[in-house]
Amino acid sequence: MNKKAYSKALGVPVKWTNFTNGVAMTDAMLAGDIDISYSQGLMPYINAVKAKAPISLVDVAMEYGMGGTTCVTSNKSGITKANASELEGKKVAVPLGTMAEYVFTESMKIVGADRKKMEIIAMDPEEGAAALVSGDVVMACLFGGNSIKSATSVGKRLLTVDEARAGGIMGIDIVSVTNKFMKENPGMLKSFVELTHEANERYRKGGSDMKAMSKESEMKVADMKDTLSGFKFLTPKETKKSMKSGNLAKFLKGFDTPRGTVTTKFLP
Amino acid sequence: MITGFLTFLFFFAIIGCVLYGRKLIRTEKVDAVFGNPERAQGGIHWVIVGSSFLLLVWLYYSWDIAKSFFPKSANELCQVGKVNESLLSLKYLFPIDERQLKSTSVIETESENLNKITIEIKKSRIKNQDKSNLLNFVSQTKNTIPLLTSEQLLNNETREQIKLINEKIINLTENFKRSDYPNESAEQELERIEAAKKEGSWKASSTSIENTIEIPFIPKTKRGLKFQAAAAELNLISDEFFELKNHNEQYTSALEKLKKEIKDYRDSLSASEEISSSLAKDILKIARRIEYASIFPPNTLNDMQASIINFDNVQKKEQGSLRWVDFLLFPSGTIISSGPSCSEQGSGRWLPKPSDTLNKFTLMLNPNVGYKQIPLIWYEMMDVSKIIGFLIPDWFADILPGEYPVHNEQGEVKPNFKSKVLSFVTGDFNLLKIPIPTGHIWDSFLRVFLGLVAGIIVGVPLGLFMGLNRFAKGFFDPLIELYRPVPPLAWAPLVISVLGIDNLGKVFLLFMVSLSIMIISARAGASGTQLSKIHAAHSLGASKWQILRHVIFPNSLPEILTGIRVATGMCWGTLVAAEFLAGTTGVGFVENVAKKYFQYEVIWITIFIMGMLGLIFDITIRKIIDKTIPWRGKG
Amino acid sequence: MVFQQGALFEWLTVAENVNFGLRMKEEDAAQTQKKVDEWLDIVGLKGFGNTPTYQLSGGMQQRVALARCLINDPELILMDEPLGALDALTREKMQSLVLKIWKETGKTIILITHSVEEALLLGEKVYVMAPRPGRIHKEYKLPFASMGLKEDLRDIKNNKEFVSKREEILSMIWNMEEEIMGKEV
Repeated sequence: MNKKAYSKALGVPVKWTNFTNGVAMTDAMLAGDIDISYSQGLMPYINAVKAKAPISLVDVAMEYGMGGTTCVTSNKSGITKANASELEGKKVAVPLGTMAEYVFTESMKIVGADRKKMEIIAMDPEEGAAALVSGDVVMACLFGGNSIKSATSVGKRLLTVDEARAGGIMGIDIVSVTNKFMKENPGMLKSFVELTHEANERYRKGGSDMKAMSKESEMKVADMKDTLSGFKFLTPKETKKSMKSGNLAKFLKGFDTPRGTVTTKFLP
Repeated sequence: MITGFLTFLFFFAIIGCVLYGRKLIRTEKVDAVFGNPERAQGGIHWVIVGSSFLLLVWLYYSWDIAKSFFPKSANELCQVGKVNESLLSLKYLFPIDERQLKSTSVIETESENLNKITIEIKKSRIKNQDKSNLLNFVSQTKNTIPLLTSEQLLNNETREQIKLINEKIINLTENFKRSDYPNESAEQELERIEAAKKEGSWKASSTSIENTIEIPFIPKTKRGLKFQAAAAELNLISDEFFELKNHNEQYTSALEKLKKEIKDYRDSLSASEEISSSLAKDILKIARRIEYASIFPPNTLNDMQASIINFDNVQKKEQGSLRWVDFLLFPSGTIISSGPSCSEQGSGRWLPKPSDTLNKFTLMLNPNVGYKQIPLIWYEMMDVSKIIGFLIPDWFADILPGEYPVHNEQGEVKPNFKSKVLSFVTGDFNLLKIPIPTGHIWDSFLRVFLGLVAGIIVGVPLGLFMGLNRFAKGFFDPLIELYRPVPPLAWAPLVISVLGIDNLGKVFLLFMVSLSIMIISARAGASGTQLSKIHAAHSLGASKWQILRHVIFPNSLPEILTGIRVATGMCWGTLVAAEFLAGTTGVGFVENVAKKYFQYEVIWITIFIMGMLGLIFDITIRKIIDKTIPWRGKG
Repeated sequence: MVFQQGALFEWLTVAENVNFGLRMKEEDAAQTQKKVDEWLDIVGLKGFGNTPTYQLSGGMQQRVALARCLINDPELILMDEPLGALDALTREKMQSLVLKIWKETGKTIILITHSVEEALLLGEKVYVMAPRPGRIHKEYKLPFASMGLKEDLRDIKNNKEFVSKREEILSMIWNMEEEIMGKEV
């Protein structure tokens, strides 16, 4: 995504800050350091809203299959989908409170393993991948292209992208904003959402500059294409549907999220 | 109730103790000059003042005092918050909380942006034809602004709508002043009170770690109801206003024309003329932004501004005593409403109330609850055999002669000697069971303890050796001096990658922390031995080993024990951070996970636990020091 | 060896300090205990056996040091300014103790001191040392030490012969000092 374009589109300088996970994003929003979170995982958002954080969901950044968030078992452990119950009693690395935890929970339901019997270690994706490589854990649930790549070098995905999709596991990244910003700068927010959808449109049409993007995300072009292939960037229409009655709505309902924190009025 | 009592207790304790302290000072002997340590000898009354003050600050800033004296205030403030929230989307257009009218500031920024793009166009290396085209677009965009700000061009329809909205606000203000607003029927009232009762009162849940309802949302009082009803009406009004745009015919046609021209222009460009295309697009964006912004003629909204300010004043007045409660008892923040819930924003959010914290702590101490299915501290019955199995290495069975048994054709496995030994060394047998402590606190404690002990066992002899031997000092010095100044946490990622996320990695990290401290202190102790003592021992016929054991070692003990004390503190600090990185148990793990779920009570509980454990460690070691080296400082 | 001060092991009690040498040689414990009691009696510290040394006064500490040294029954005793850090009264008492021990054990004691008076009082032979280079400047043979056994020490100090000897040695040392350091202006 072209960061400069956002400054131009909003008519004010936009300062971008990178976060490793959505939990930190919420923290920063509550502390008043940032106004808009782009591509926050849905789980951190749900946890934040449950903790009564004054933030709202205004757009879906992307839906993704298991391409972007997945659980990888090490080859050494010999555990696959078929004998997944062997995971019980073993150590697995999960970044708690993120989308990966959701994927982990759902995957365990699909393969029929009891997560309560596992020793769950709270680890960020990078460390989870390292722990899988060193053999400390038999499975690591992670997100982020580089983490997945280093994990899959010694292991396999527990569920393939298609299997996961068939099982109804999907991740959703969203755009959330502080309520104060939303009330005070509706115009800016609308421009932001519009531009995001324009970028999505460009990507769908294949007009994105892959090289620039790979440089930005510090990934190889091929790896990034692989990561992106799991992503689905929705059209405004699909977004609205997702937010009102589709995947997002179901997701929020499934997690008992307080209602009324989602608004579609900024969609183009 | 209890909080209220405690508040008074602390308050009077402070006053009483200060008075007592002042009285003491007057009767105190005056010959102790400033700087005389005797003057710094405390008194229990000052301790009471200090701790009461601390607790009072905690009660105050966590809004527990507000909660105990005005238990309904949060609910009422929540309703006020709803009004403020709805007002926000009306207020932002006017110079009420802002410096400028929103229209003015939009025009200012966008004119600035248009100027910027003009410069950019002039500087860019595109054909002159394109330049003049683009500049034309810019001036067209600029010209759309007066169309929006002209009083004459304002649509009658828009004017009517503004008037209507204004009337609604005035109407609401009038109604709001009435005491019986919003005319709730007896039936509705019953229903509301029933629902409010069901929702519970203002406190954190004491039956689950997770917080569900902290501030009741449904208005409990008449005053609250009034604000809630007003907020609902205001929401409708602001939504209506949000949709309202000053798009008169002249403006719409001008904008359409501009949009079409830009589109035609961009279509006419070839793929290589990307710069012109994107510049045109940027101009279009600005035009669109102006379209979307609510720009009105300068004086059109004056009436509305006045009525909004009026309503704001009325609602502030209607808050009455609540405003004072908010001002005095809700320091640094207040209760705000956002969407479907009200929440504490400010110090009340991250500083949990003492009462809530205590409830949560009691809950967590229950071994069946604990945190993430592991108790804080409890015991479990463990077979002694497990300990034997842990102590004897498993390869012991492997090196015995013979093979492990293979199952026979009947499908039975007959154990032989080798397999029996294996089950012995792996602890796979039953002996008596003994209780073993377990849980987060115990795990953290054990890690620190093991790291410390390992550091002492290796560090003390090595340090003494280095203090006595030229070779050892020279050989180990570069190693120690290089790794010692590195902050221990800097090693953490590396240690965890190499040794794993299990206890081994963490204990090793703590070992590294304590090792360097122990070496340094033992070395200092050894090289600080008075020569005369060594000479004396020598002349009394002691051997090298005896001098080391009976003179140098006891002589370095004060240094070593001080080293242990320092190392304990360092280990404790490092451990918590290491548990942050990865882990399944431990106090640091609990805090790290609690942070992800925004469980501020749990975070504070872990902080208290760490403080207490650190204190206990320190006091224990201080007691040991006093007991083992009473001669310290007297030799 | 007996040192000026600070050579006691303050983490041990009086008795443990005294029997240090014997313990290091791993001698019979009962025998050792008996010897310790004897020696504590001689130096006048009976009943202080279990006291930590850091609770003792300077004079008592030096008595412990003496006992610790003598209990090993050494051939030769070297005392390096053993009484240097004591106050005048204690010092006098200790001087008579040294004399008493010398007489009772008959051991050779080499005692180094700064005090001319002390040297005269305790020494059978006094060697005056000169610095740069360190050497023996003059040798004296004196009768006062054997006198001290019979007479009160203070009487000896007022003895005419004692006073003249003291003056002689002191002026000699002064002259020597001037020779080496140059006359003070």
